[in-house]
Amino acid sequence: MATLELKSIRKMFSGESGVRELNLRIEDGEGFTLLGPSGCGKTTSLRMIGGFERPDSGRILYDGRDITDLAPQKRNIRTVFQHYALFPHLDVFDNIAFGPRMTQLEDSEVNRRVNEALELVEITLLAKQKIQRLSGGEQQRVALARALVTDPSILLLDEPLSALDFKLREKMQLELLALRKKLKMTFIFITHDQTEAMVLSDRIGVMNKGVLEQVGSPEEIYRFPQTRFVATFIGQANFFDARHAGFLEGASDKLPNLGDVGASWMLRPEALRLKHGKTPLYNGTVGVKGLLQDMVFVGEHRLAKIVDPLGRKILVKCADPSVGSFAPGSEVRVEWEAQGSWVVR
Amino acid sequence: MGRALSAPSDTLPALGDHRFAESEVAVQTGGKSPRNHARLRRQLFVVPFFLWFVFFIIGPIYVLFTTSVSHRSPYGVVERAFDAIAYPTLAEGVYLKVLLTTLAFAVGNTVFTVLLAFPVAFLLTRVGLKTKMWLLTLVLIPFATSFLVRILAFMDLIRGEHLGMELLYQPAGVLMALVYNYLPFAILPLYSALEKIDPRLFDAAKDLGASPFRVFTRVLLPLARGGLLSASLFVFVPSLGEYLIPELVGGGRHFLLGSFLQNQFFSARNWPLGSAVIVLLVLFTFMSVRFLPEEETA
Repeated sequence: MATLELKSIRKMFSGESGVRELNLRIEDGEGFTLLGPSGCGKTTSLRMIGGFERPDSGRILYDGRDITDLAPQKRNIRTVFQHYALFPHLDVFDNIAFGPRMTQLEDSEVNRRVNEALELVEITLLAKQKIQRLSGGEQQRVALARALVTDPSILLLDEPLSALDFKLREKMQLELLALRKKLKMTFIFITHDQTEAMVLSDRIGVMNKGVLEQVGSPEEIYRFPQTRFVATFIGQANFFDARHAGFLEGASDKLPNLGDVGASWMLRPEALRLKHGKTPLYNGTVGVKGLLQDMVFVGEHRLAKIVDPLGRKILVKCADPSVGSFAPGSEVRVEWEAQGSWVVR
Repeated sequence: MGRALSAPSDTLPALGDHRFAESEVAVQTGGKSPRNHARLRRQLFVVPFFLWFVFFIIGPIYVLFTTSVSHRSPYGVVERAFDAIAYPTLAEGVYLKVLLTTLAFAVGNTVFTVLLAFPVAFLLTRVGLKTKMWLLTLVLIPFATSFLVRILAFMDLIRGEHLGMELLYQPAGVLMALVYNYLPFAILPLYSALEKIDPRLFDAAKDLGASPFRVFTRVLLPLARGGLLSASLFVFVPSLGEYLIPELVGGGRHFLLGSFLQNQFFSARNWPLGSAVIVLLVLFTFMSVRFLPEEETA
């Protein structure tokens, strides 16, 4: 078992950066991602879990045991650092053997474990290579092996894929996922890349300005964001609010109640449809007229930008190829299912 | 690390790369003879550097070498006749003693200076930008004051009535003055080497269970090796020819190479012998620079 609990963690630096308040429980074997823009406090959070920073206040519990003041190596938690932090003066084998050699283990036992780790991440042939001669993907494997060889129960990964190019990133995402499933270990990721977060994790915690704005499964976060920030940080979002009331056509009475002042209906670009301004509205559909600004063909769909009567931009993903005939500057109507609207604060 | 950073440039032609320069020019002018013109023009750029090199490096070394193998007349005039007597002469006891004393001071100076410089250089990499600027200024301030004034002040500082024990005109006093004077020469190269070490490596070592001592011996020291070597060289080589400090602080009691050279050229008027010593020093320096690790000479 390895559950991790963060209770009212606070760690502020001069200025506004740091972690304001963090409460979180990560379950055994979970893939959890802290997602947020740079400076949101996610790296500080990870460093506190890893033992490299002490929180100003709050407690960190591991299986209910307080580990707030434990040194990094005394926690059963290892970190895979951003850019991997491999020792440049040691070869692959010695990098991985660094941890085991710090213990009382016999040389033969060290060798056995290192070889096992090399096999696990499939780099046995690289054992005697210099770090400088490795590709980004190989370096990541070494970093993983170096952490895993010490047999931790939680692995922290700080921007594990940011150093890789696009193609390799996709491949390594899937490999990391497979590795996690195979080891049944808790992986805590940090990233600013939403796709990475979605692929890698069971749950995502979206951080902004030192607080967790929302925690949930990738689908929950995408479909039911609690705040405007979460809605725009994960994917693209269109917002309609009370000020649109006079311009709404069709079943606007079927829209969910906005409640709060400042709340709005959030709709993903793919939830919207683009129609000629004159076609009749179906039952239960809401529409807003606007001017088509431009449209781009991106393969599987067309991306259309529309300016609504309030002068705001609306982004629509059109799967229907017939919209290709719409001329920029023409009057169009954006429509969606009234009941499919999601209210965000 | 340095290699990893420079690796991508291997695939691109460097600025000085011939293929690059030629193809550039060929595109601009086309044809064969303009290309030759361009090559000539490019070679002309090298001329000033070549002349500089000849006048200030090759020339003096050539003069020194020919002097060192020349004949010295009984009145001290250098006669242009081959006579390699100076080199075997240097193996005589008196001269060997000078050489060994000089080596002892140079080694002592190097060891103490680098030992003292290391923590300062490390500190410089760990503080904020503002503090760093202050500390660097403090390190460099001695450069701004006159060398002679500094040494005279130092001599006063180490006199018996101030310290309770006499260090002036003692070997320890000379060593202290040397170390004091050479510290910046060790701090700066060490700082620039240590600054290139990713601090996350220390976190990584700690995370893997290394004690602070092990972090030092297994990570910091091996990575600082190049910096330590070049700092040692920056101190060791010039302290071989140190003249004023041993003369003033040592009161001329410790006869070192610097004073020996001064003697050979101005009092004893044995230029071939003096030149032979310098030729050996130049050779020695050349060899030690050659043996520096690649990333330090680059």
